[in-house]
Amino acid sequence: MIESSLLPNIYDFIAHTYPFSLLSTLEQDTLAASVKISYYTKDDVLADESLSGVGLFMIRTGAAEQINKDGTLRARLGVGDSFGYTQLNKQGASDYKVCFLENTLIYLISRQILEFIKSRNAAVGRYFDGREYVRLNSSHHYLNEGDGYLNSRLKQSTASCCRPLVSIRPQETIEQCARRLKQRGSELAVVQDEEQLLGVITKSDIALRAVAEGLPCTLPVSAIMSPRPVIIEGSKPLYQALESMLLHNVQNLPVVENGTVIGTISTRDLLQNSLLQPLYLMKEIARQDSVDDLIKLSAQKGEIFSTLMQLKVQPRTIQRILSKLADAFIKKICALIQDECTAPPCAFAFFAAGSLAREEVQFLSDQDNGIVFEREVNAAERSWFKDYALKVCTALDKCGFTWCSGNYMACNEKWCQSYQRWQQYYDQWILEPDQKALLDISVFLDLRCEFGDEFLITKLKQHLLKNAAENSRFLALLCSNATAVSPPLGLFRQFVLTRDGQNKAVLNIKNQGISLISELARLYALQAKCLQNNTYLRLEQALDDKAAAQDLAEAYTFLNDVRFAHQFKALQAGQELSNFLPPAELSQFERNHLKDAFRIIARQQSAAQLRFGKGIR
Amino acid sequence: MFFDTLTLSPLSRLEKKRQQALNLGKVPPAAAAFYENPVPLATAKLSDLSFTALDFETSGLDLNQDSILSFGGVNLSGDQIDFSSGFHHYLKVGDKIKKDSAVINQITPEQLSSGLDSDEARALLIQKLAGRIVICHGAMIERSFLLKMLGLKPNFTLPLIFLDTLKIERSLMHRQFKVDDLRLCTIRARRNLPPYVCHNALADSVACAEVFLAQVKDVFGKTRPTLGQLYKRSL
Repeated sequence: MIESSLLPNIYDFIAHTYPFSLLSTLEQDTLAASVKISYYTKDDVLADESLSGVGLFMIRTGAAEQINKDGTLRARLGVGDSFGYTQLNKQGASDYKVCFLENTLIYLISRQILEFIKSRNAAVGRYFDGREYVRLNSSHHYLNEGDGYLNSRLKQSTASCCRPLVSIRPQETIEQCARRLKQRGSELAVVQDEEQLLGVITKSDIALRAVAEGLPCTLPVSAIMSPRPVIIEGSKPLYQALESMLLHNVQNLPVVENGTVIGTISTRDLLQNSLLQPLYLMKEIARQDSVDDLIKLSAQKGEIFSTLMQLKVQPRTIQRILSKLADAFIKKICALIQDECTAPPCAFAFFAAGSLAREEVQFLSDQDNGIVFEREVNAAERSWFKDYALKVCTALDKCGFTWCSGNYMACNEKWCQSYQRWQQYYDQWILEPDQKALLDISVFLDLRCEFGDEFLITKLKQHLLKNAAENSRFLALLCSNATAVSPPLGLFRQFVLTRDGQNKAVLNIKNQGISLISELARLYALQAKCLQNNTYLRLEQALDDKAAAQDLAEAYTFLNDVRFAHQFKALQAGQELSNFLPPAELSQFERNHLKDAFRIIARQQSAAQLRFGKGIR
Repeated sequence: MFFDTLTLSPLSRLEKKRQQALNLGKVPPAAAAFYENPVPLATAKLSDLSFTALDFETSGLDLNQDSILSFGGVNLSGDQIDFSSGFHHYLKVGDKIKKDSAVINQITPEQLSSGLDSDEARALLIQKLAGRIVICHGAMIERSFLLKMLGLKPNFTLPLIFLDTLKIERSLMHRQFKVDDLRLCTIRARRNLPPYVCHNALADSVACAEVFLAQVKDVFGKTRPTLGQLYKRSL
């Protein structure tokens, strides 16, 4: 083999191109040394036999277009992009042809070499899988490699969080127990008879309950154990272990699976992963007694977002934690301000709409909310609600949940109404739908009670679901809105490539990606009368086509991941956060996967149009 | 050059010379391998021929004083460079290395002392090049030093075809745009080919091979490329 320093061009390119960057140096050498180089000029075409089953074509310089069989544009490819891998297992006719736009230098990795590398490295294999969702799934393998993150199941994170078990029988002595704890370096022993959990003993129990009390260490452990300990199921997320520890004020929890103790987890284990911060903040929020103190605390949101990103917590969990924090702020603010005011004239509920209702808040989210009161009110009573709503929304703004640009807030009188009025709103939206009006109010199609009489919100939701599911015209118009924006085809050099072949300067990852998925999920949820607000849960429960649900969920995760990664970078650089991504800032890795995510969305938009579109006629 | 057989194409003339040498028993023993295969016809399709892009790094340009420090090359078949065929070797040339050339080539005496001796190098080059068409950038250097290595005079006509990307590039330029700078890296930049580390024999040969692929497209467009045209442009 030729030494790698002698083939800098090819070697460097391979070593810095994902997923080959994942390979060992030796594998990269093998790959680089096997490259075949070809050159194509403008208007040259690769199709069928020259493409099917050949290998991976990597563009070193130049540009090309992939054209689908029906003549539509599939993608435009520039330096570092590759094509051919979905055609690897084909013979004869290819799914698309490749037309070169410029003189192009191609590095070709033959099918045989690619198969060899795929067999050597599972991550590379997944990356070149023919299925988009597998490729997308491969994109966040790195998230799972974090040190045990909030959302991981206790059982799965045994290595980092669940310590090996020190199990002891009740008749064994305190001394035996202490020795076993020392041997295993454990904080906690579980006392078990046969398989039955009787109690736990910690190191401090031995010090405080035995030594300090002058008890002989030859006594059985059952004398000093804590009986009937708090336990946690291995299937529960780490997040709940934290909650449970704080709630019961214990430092250690036995982890149980099918009634058997499989390990223990301690606050120290969690602290090492700096996972406690959000929980401490939530506790702090609940403890404050003035809005000013809450405002001070709200500065921590940014730190928490950064910590979660550094820990490589998956986007879904980040959204949930940020949403829980937002909930905590809202609940506390609602309560504090109600205490300041006179008693409310009647029962009411303050609810979250939009992304917070879906528990999909991001660092940038503004406030969307409303108030429902149980009966019609007189002018004086109305002014109480008006005053209350303004105070709450103002406090929220000061805590970083900025004023909603669309004015979808409780402080807007239109969205601070009686139950009856709200019901009329929904009837009007659903029974006499107007496409443009629907676009404006879609934020109120997701709602969740934050404070007050939850039943008012439940009732309203039931009303919405019952009517929506039965009104095909409403669903059709909603579908039309949800599919009005097409995702881009992908990225080409410093541009976003739209479906009509136009190049746009920036990618709005929210409007051109993330929102398209949450809208589809909402559409299916309404049709299935599914009570869930969360996009993942809606996809899971409301879509019959499980493969489609999986596709969309993977795409949703990936798009949010990209968004968060870029917001995190901006936050660290002290820049303003936004949903706009200049393509030049996207890595090759992100570009390739974005293309997959966009393709999934486009396909599911077409499926939705077929399914719901007929209601328009 | 002999112009007495103007009716013959340059390639046919070369073939004629080869046959004469064989018939008259005037084949230099050291170069015998290059006489084994007939010189291809001008009409031969490129896709039927085997090519090797070749580059020498030398201690200087003086044939009498300077010597080859390293050589590298890569094979082309059809319209593809087969990178796995790449080769690269240093030569053991003792104290021949000069300060100036060391700066340019980044070749150190240590690398050279562990290299091939001249017999090994000659044998290897003959094995790599016999029966193939050689592609070089500024083929004069490679041709002269190869002849020297074979113990032949600089004006000896060896039946080995050299295609010269430098001359082909010049032939492709419009007269009014003719520029002096025909260095490989300049040509590559002009052709929007990726930059590469100059003055490493293998990297240079690959760089030259890539330029060759681009030139073939320029010369022939969509028509089937043949050898004759490229050879004429390389003279």
